[in-house]
Amino acid sequence: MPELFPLSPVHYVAAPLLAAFLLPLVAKLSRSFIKILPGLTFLYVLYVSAVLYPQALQAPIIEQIAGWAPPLGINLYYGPMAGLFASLFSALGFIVWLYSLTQMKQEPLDRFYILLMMLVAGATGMVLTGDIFNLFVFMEITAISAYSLTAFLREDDKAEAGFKYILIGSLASAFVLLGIAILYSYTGTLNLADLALNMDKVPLSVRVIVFGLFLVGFGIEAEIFPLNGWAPDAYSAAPAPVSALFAGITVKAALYALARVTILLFPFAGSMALISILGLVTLVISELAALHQKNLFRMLAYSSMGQVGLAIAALGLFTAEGVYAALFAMINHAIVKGMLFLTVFAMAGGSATLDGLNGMGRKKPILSLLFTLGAFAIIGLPPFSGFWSKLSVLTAMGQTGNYAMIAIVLATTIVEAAYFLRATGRLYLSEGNPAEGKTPLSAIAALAVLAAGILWIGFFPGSIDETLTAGAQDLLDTAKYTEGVLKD
Amino acid sequence: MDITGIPFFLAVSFGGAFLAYLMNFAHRFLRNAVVLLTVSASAALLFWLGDETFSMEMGGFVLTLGKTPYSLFFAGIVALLAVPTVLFSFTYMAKEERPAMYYLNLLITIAAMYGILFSLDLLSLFIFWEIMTWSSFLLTIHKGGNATKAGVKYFLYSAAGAYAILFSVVILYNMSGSLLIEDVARSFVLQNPLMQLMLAGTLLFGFSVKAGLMPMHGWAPDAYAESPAPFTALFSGALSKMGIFGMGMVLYQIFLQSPFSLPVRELLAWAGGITSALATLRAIQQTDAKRLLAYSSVAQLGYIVMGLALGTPLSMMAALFITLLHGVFKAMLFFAVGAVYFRTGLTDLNELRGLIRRMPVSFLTVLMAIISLANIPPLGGFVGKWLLYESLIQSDHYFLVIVAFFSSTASFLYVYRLIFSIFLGQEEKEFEHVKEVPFLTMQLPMLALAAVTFITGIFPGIVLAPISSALTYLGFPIQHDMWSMSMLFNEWGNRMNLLAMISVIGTVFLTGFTILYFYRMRRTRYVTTKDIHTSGEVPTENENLTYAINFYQPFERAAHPVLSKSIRAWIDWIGRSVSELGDFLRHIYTGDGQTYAWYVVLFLTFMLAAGSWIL
Amino acid sequence: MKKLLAAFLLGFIGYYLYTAFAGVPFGENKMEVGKDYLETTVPKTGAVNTVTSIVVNYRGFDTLGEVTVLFLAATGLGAILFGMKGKPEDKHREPSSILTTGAKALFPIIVLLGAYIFIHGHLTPGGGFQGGTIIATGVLILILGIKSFHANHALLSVMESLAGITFVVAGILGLAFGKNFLENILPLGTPGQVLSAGIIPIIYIAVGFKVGAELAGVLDTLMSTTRGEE
Repeated sequence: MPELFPLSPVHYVAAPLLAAFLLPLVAKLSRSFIKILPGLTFLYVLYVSAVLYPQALQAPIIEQIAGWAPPLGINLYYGPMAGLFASLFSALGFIVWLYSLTQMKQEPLDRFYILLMMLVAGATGMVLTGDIFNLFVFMEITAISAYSLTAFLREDDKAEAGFKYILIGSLASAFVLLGIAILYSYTGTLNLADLALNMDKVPLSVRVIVFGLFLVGFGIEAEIFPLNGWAPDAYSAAPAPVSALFAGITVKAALYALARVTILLFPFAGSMALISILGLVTLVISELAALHQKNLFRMLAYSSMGQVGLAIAALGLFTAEGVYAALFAMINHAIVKGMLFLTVFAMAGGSATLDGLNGMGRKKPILSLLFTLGAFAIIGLPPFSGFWSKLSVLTAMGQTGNYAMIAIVLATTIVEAAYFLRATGRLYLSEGNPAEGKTPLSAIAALAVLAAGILWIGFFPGSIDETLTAGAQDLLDTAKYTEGVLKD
Repeated sequence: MDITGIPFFLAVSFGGAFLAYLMNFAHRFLRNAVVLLTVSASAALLFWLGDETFSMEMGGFVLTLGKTPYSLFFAGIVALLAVPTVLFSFTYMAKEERPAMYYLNLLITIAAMYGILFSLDLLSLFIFWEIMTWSSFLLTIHKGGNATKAGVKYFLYSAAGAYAILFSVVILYNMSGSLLIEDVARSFVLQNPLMQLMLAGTLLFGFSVKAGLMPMHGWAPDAYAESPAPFTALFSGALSKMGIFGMGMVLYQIFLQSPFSLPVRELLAWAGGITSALATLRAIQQTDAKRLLAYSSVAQLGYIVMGLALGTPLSMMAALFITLLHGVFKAMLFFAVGAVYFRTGLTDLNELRGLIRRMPVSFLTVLMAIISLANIPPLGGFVGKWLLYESLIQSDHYFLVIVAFFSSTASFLYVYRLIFSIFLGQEEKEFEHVKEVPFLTMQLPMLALAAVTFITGIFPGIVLAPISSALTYLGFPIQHDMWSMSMLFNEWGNRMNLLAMISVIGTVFLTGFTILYFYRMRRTRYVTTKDIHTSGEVPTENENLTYAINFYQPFERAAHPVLSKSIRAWIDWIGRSVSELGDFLRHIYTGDGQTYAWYVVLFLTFMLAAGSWIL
Repeated sequence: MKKLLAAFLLGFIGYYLYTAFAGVPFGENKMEVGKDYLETTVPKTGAVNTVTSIVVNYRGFDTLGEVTVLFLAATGLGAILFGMKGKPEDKHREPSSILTTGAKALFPIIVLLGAYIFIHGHLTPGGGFQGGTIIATGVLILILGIKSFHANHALLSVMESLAGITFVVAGILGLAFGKNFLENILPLGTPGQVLSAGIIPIIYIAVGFKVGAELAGVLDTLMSTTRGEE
């Protein structure tokens, strides 16, 4: 096999695409393929990750699509950071598939899995590509899958949420596209590395405008306040497995895009500080907004926005430690929030409210334990993964001397603790009968993988240290990036 | 692994927790055996703990563990209370649900306390601190119902404290590049004084939350009242002392050289004094046995902080002595109240009465404990309080002496109410079938601790020896003849100079009893509890006319001006305001797509305008 | 008031966008990439139509993405409208027989035109997207002209899938031959011939089929939902 199909990063996109196109065909042979094929696909891309990511840690893999050297053609840049994200997305995709096997019953399943695979593939494409227009295309793929998945349950409020998402999402696309058009008309190139070298052709005033457009465009997908209005609705409307992916994948891809574009094209102190401040504002407002939320999925949505705000605040420092911390926070959030969404859905169904958790400690003890674990991890209690990510954020802020930022982050953590523990406390109210109903094995297995991740990172935070350091360096070392891409 | 090393010690402590959790699925006897074995093993291992330190790297930080004489003293308290606590739990928790979770969290809490004590760097201290907090949170909410609210409150106060600590830790790490307490201390003195004040202030604030120092004591009454009784004993007796441990560490290992050290300690001493006075008054008001004990705990912690903050060798000795003794007698009280609850299902002082013949051992426990609490010789409490007075006077804090003396005296009122309402008075029909609690698992822990109060009262030297090495470690100039610091001890220091005192006090008491016996007891008249004057009114059935109702009404009227203002209400108000702010902010997300589009467009406009303005 | 503010804001943003575009130096030769395309397309790709060579070859990955976007839109629409039934309506008049006959007569011609356009995509203006859309309009005419007309969904979906698979497999074959994804593996042929430009026509034909099938499918889904049929 390896001789026949040499593995390359493009498989991350090609394999899900092939599977998505195949799915309607194999569905005609047997309905069971509908469920099996996506799983095989995710397994395959995980295998790709397992082979390629270690190589990327040594040296970034740069693939030229159709054999045209950039800037003529499109290239994929599979460096440590992109590799990290691609692997994370594939893993999450697989876990969500495993969970959906038994928990997702809404027809049409073939379309659900096509959209699911494309959501993951699109987000992966966003982090892989080295071409800004290609980035836009993948952003569209991700967004369109996301819109459809938001409205997938086909009730009125879900459709409404989906519509809001489309409305705001199209604004995002329009702004990004406008920004790309402006850049292209000044520089005549679309390749990110080439653009980075040609940015001096763009007058400063125009650069500010383009940065504004990109910030808004990517910021909408990255859930930056005040652009994140669509998020609470979309998160609570979408089926829980999809919400888990929103929190774990789409936001992260947009954030990656924003970070890459900022560091390559707009490396000014002002733009970075702005991102940091926006992150903090997002963090504070989202956490406070979550405090009073009765609908659990909305609560988790606000918490998601808050966590992303935290990552953005750290990312905006654009120091090695800051990016390291941001990556850590994103990984942690992807795992933990994913687990929380899935646990809540398995425990209390799609329209879970706080009251719905009452007495779950007796009805569903394992799920309750998992929820507690997730809540502790997201608050950042040791010895769980969230502690180390939050600590790295704090030390990164400390290193830049931003003590006020530390104080803000810690204060919001108390707020975060308030609503998460209130929910946790509900679990252990003495109501209901012991151990009611069974949770299917596939759901438990999916959750167990995530829980194991939380504990593993919690006890062995050093195990992902190399990954994060390499990822942070990869993002910050722009010279290496441009040279690598344009070497011939 | 070296069995005298700290890693092995912690591995046993934490490992036992998970083993017990797993064993729960096998058989409960097996589980109980593992639980008991774990706490006894770690208690025993304390004696053999080696001196070498142990470092490991975790997430890019170097964590260092090791023992110090100071931590060993506190570890002793933990061990001393942990064994009776688990023993008491066996029968007490047999009726409760989810025992596996209970023991898991209990053992994690205990192990985390050891972890805190044996941390030589601030990060591992924080890690264990947080583990202790969440495991004790889970224990607090174990009962469900009101406990949930109390637990969340406890956690939020703790989180405020813990993050204040973390704030400092991160900055200190940034300044000194090391987490080791000694390195931090070295670079701490190089900072400017205001920075020092801020860092030490946040650290002290964080630790004082756990100690329940006013104004951050709001969590304590609820959390103590709602958590399962055996755990409450450990909670108040050992867990809250972790705050004392941390404060001592900050004050004397890090902050001592700062110009602000003295004023801050003076302030803390006053905070301690006020805490003890106000909490005592509050305790007197309580009608629930556990809440009463909760406020009493807050008050006692106030004394300890007072002694700790004064910072004379004698006051430190007093503080550490009370730390131990308070742990012991408060555990006894919580056990006894727990025993009563176990048999009657009640903790309300207005409902309970006359249990003395039904539960004599519990009565004896409470009696011993309150003698100790009220500082009556010959039990241990007396020694501590005496040392405290002596040190206050020696350091010229006369006003604080008055405060301390006032609250000590006032504490008679609530301990009297406690023992009187529960055990004395006439037996009631409804308690006819109440039996004493089982001996091995419930009486034994109580009696063992009672013996401790007795022994420490007669031979304080047993406790003073570890205290003196702890104080030497903290840098206090303790001479070999530390005993001469107080007039309390004989010249060898291993025993109290008791003879004179006991004879005086004994005489007074004997005389009193004799007079009472001849004057009152003979005229004992049996009445029913309903036979209380009702001023001509015919009482309805729902009116509870027990004598325990409005026990201290005149007193409460007198104390009303002080007690009507509640600090807790202020902090609750802050919490509510944040919550309302959250509710307000939630309405930013109107649910209207058009509004969101407006936000986007406005934001872009703003960005463009701001961007071009800056250019 | 709200509208006024909206107008003002749009004007404001518009002004900034205008200044951004107004500053573009017009007519200057800044387009190194564009120049490269214009000069080297024919020898390098064998496609006479430069636009097609860019769309399918240089930026073929984007095109794959665009095809996917369309595919997703169709899939999403199917998912959201799944099982949904509109009100059975009676308002629509029967199409007249002229329309019906005309539709039947026009359909093959339209399909032929569409096929011509996407088969000659690498030679003349036009290509897979355009050809596919034209084919879909043929289907639209059928839907409008014949009341009982139903597109064969199974057939459409098979066509769609096969076309998509062809595109991806064409890409993967590049990898299999030790080259890059979507890289040409066929002889370039003589520029100007139908059988030239390597895999470009193959991909464009696949795109044509795919776009045609998808749009036809979307139209039919929408029609049957509004008509109250399944």
